[in-house]
Amino acid sequence: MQKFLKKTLLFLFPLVVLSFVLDGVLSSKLKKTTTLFKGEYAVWNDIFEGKIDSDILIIGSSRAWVHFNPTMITEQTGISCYNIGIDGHPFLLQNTRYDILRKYNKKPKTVIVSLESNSFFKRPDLYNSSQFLPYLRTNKDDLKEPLLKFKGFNKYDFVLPLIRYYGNFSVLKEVLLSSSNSTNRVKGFEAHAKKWNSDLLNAKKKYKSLKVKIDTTTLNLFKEFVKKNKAEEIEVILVYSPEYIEGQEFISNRDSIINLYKKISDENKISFIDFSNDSISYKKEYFYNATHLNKKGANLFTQKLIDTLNNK
Amino acid sequence: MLFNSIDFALFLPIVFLLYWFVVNKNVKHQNALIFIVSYVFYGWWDWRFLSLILFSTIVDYTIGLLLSKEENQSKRKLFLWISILVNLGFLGFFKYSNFFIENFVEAFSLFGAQIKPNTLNIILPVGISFYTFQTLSYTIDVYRRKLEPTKDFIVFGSFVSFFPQLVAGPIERATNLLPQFYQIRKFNYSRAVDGLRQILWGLFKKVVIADNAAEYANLYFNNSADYSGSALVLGAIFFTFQIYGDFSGYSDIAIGVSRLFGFDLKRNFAFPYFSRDIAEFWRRWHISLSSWFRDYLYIPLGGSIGGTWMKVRNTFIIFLISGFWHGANWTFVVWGALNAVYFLPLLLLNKNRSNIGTVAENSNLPTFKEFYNIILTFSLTVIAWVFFRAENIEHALSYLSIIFSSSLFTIPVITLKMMLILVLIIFFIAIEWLGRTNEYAIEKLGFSKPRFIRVSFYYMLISMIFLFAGSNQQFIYFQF
Repeated sequence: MQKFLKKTLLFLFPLVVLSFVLDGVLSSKLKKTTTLFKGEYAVWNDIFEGKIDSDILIIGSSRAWVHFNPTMITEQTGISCYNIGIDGHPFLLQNTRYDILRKYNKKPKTVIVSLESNSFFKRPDLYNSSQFLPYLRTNKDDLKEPLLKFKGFNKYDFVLPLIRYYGNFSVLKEVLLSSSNSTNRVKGFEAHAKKWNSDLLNAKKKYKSLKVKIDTTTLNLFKEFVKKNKAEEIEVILVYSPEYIEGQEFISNRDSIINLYKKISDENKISFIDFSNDSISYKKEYFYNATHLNKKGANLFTQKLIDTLNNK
Repeated sequence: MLFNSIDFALFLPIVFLLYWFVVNKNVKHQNALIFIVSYVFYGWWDWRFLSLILFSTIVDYTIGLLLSKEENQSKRKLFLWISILVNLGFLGFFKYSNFFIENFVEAFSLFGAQIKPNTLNIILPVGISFYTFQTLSYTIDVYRRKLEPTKDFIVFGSFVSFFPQLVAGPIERATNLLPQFYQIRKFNYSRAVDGLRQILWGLFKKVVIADNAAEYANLYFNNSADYSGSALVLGAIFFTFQIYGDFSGYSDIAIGVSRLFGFDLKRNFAFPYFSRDIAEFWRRWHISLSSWFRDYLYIPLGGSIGGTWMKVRNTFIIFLISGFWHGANWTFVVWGALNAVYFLPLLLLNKNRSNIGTVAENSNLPTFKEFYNIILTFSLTVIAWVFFRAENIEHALSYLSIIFSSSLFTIPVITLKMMLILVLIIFFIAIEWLGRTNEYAIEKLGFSKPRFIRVSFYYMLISMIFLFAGSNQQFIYFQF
């Protein structure tokens, strides 16, 4: 038995050592490949390294990420701004990102929350989960609890080395082949110079219309978020950025969702700026799909937002 | 608990150390540990169904004892039937009730009677088909007086729930496994190393071959109308390797794990895709199930004693029931029937035992005739697997109709990833071919080479498992 255990441990020893070394090398290389996974590594790196010392923060999903241009805001208002929009995730994970940001970075003066029909929807899967890979072990205290609420990682991924890369050949391939360290995200924002695509047409083919289910836990979390920030004297501004008019009709309970946002804004005496009926929403040329503005649309919208905020 | 999970990777060494260091002095304590950890292993999936196994165990344990004491033949027969009805009753309820309800409703609708189907929301307990057959083998063997019943409930409980093979076999016979629980088990270094080697090979088959092949098998089968005949051939081949890698991989891990604890399980697969005819394929595929049907159904039905008609009838019965055992769907029945049809010419020409030994045993390559026969048998098997994998009969027929259309002669689109998986499958076939005279492919592979070459090969397999692990985690046979 002793011989068996000794030989087994001897066989496993190089694997264990190698797994720690490889974990470190892969994670470090992955963090630098900021073009991968919608460029989220660039934002996460800035958050974890405490590099976001902005007074205005934009939070939201992909609509925040591609709509709000922080450089324009900073240039025109003289106030530093950063966009931490996280693609594909409703408020639950947006809030996680904000909490982590607050832990490592200075307190913002203003938080602009980008709202949409799906903001309080509960997504069960951990979309674009690869964005968390390099941070799981080193930042497990920040990520373990919130990420385990989704279907994606298991508890061992936060503890054991290399396990989370198991079978992740596509990620490993990217790490090995990627040489570019540049990122398309500027202060978290990424402009998409795209033309109108068939997303809306495909969605209409698949569904007649969609009814968004509001998750009570997420809604309550949002209300708490507003109250907490107000208590810390951080100004919260709710913004519903433009949505192409035909896409608005596709969400059957959109009006009640907008009313809910108005109600939250009234109850908490915070601004709610709704661009649903802005002229941008009626022009296809500003969008690449029903819910996302292209570069031209994003810059025009940001300008209109700055003007609105200046006139407040 | 899945064999290819971190939970199991932690569970196994803990149980191993407890078994050999804490309770190693006493075989009863070792059995008690196996009994407990087997229930933990099963309960990890769904603890509610532990009561089902426990109930089956109590029924068959009691009936075993009653059968040994009772001399009156009609009473003995009654006890046997109680065991059969209880076990098959559970199996029938959990696995087949909805199937029968749906078919009953459909049959009535043919005569114009519209009945509202009232199907049940039933979860199929993992492994029920396997442990049901295992416990049945016990009561039947005791009834036949081939086996003395055990008086030790823990031993019997461990036999029924032995965790390495509980959920997907091999289906053990009481005559093979039960006596091993009474033997004093001493740790054997060579057996343990051999066990680890077989576990490694099983993991490679499951995680690298089956799970990757599954990705493309699913793609082609789920969207068969969108693809050409040649692409669907690829899809069927991917499924052929998926099911083999998945099921034989599970069996390898089960046998390897058992060996770590001093138990020898039955071999379940013997390189079936190198078979030269269908009869040989069925002697090499899911051996524990085929031999179960042979001993407990085919032979009692008269086997091959009663002439050609009897042989044909019994063969069809076995294949149809074997198909139905796999699942409550007509596709499995047709899959069984198709194999029976394949078998028929060999049976009629009395050639079903022409290929008994290992192919090309004394040479590196098969003869042209052997190669031709292997390819022919493999092709027939691939066609049969289409029924096994399809959602329903219509799907299988439409899949085959696309294969046998002019689009068969087009060149399918092969992506880089698909190419990589095909290379892995070719590597797998090559290793299987090299090891075809052994119990499992890498049993003695590289034994004539220096040790570091062998160790390097194991490290390479581990690296491949890490790098190329597919995303499909569940074992196919869990649903049977």
